[in-house]
Amino acid sequence: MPEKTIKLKHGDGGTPMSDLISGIRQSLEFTGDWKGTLDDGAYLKAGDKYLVFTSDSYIQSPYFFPGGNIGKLAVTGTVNDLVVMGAEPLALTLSIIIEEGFKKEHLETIIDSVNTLSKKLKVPIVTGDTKVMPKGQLDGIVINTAGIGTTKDIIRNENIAPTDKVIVTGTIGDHGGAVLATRFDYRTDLISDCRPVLDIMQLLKGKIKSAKDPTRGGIASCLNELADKAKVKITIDEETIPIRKETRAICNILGIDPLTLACEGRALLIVSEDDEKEVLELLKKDLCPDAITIGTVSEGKKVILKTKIGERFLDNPGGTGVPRIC
Amino acid sequence: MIVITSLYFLIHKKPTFNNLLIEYKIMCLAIPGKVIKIDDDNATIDYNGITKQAKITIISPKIGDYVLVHAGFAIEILKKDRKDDTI
Amino acid sequence: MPVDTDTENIISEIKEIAEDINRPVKIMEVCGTHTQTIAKYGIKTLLPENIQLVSGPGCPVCVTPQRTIDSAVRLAQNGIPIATYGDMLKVPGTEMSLEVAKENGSKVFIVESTIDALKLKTEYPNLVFLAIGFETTTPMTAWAVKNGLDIICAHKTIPEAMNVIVSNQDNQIDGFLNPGHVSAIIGTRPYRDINAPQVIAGFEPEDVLKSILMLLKQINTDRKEVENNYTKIVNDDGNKKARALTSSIFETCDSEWRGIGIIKDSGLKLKKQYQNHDAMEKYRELLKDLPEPKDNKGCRCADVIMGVIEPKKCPLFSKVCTPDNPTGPCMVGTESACKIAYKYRGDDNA
Repeated sequence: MPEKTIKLKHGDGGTPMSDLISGIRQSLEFTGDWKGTLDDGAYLKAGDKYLVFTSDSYIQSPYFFPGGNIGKLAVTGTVNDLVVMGAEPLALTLSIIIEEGFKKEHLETIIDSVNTLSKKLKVPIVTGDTKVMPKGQLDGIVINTAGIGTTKDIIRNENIAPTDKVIVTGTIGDHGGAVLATRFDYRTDLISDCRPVLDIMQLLKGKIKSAKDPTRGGIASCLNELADKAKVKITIDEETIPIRKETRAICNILGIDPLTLACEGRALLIVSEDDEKEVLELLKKDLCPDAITIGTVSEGKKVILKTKIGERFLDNPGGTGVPRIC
Repeated sequence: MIVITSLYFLIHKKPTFNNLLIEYKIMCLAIPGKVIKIDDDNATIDYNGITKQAKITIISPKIGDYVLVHAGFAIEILKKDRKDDTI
Repeated sequence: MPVDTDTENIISEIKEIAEDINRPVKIMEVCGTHTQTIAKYGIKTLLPENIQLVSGPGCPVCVTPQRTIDSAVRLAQNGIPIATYGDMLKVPGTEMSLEVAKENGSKVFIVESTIDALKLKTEYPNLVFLAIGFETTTPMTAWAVKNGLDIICAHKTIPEAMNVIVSNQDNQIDGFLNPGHVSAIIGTRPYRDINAPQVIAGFEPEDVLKSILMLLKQINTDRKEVENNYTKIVNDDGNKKARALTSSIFETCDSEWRGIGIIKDSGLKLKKQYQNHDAMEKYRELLKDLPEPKDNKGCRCADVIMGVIEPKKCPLFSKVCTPDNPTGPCMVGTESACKIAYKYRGDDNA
């Protein structure tokens, strides 16, 4: 990382962020017997199972957005990181840093959302921390959640192979689109897709080869990560990607590629060619009516986008310019 | 949904220009939208479910017209009743 | 391959005519938004080998002179809040960009429109707006000046720049894809004095392909016409109201285009009765002794915007010059040729 100071681009889901993270990761030399320390969650063999451990901080702005708030996001995001590794969540921590002057009723609404979701998913909040910082030294509220889960089988990104199919469980970019629309004062019915994908992953247990939750950097970021880790080429058919017209509109207005826009309730799945039909049927029956195959894995490298006219590369977003999206 | 959205607008913190800078704003890009309300030289434009005001200082549309909006101003009335994603 | 039969037919016809022409052909897309469409949809990979598409000077970010950036930076450093369109934030000036000035504590605001700039002015009465852009964007600035906004005026006009390109003997451009939205404002007439085949094109990929076909037909039959393939919004007269608003506030002047030099009658300046909104006049003392603009060694932005080379031929492209670390302005704007080429790099599209 050539810069001497940290910039906003180092946090918005693209290449500069990856560089920063791997820099920090490499500086922390001791990882014991833990594996996957650059993935959504790290894992450790414990008897006949794996312990999966993950953590995320939420600096979402605005902290209330159509479809949810930062509390709901904090539980959803960390639970999703666990379940896309194949883990059953056991517990979460909740650490909150609050700016002096923050409205108590807002805090109550946020905690209420955390509580509702924790009870619904049966994932307890078992410990945490609360701090208050002087006015002006923090913008509103920041939340960190760590989550722990267990699984017999870790879903690894490296497992994917030529002929595998890429499925997305619903419309992409809803969260990013809703947040951006509200930030820039565009009225809309578009709401965040913020929801845990626990039920989706449970439904498809044993039938998927890899899964990711496309948050910052959107599906563009996830696809590049998968192609890179598994050393394959992924070809995506642009016309099949489900995007709400409102999301398209806000992307057009603000000049953003919807494929780089955050989702907070979608899963990007890689399944074998043989399992594709069954997986789609299971998804579309109830939980994910918009689930659709958007691409194929093959020999080669990088991510190719087939547009309605010609083909081009879909690169890792190099800083999307969309700060504080989650 | 309308209730939830309204509540959201009542309680959310207004973003400041400073904090949420966004480098993306394609200058030449103009977006088509439908005029749904006119108020002097301001019109409410519906872009496929996203609405915002635009100035109609340099064109004279009617309600129901599709217009092209650039940098906050409607610059042309579309001749045909077409809604492309971009123009 | 394209889904649509019409588009398939257009591509076949392009191939036939290109074969007939039987020599290298260089087509310039003047406007950065066309460069975007071409890259986004992989259009170059569909064209025959003898048809080359090059970018033009229709990107305000790329052609705004260093001195303009330096002026804005100088004002910002002296406590005068600057409002700008987002694309301009990272453009390198002689010493720094507005982004760096902002990081150093100066007030620099990104706005989507001059309407927002005016709103900001209620909070910051001495706010200055960096007014860049071509004929599409000028009416918005005119409206705002009328309503009290102070500006650094860096507006430019397209047809004169196209003339300079046509008269460049060292680099033959065989035809132009003319900018769609500029044409919506100025109409078709200002292009008629330009001695080259031209097609005014829309921004859907199918429209761009059709426009390329129309150009090739002109080239193949030695015609030099201005054809309108964007009749949805462009007519011969353009938008008279918009032009009237612009000319009530601005008048023509010579203008410096970064990397190209002075082009006669290609810029706009505030009319006398609006001089009090000219920040360059108002803050004349502050703007004395600006740093001498320096050329960045090896940077070939000027050649890119004149259509002499494609971005990947610049020796600095993606090695030294990247969007995170731009040497020249062409790597900065969302409509800038090098930035677009970098974004879609890794194949032969860009």
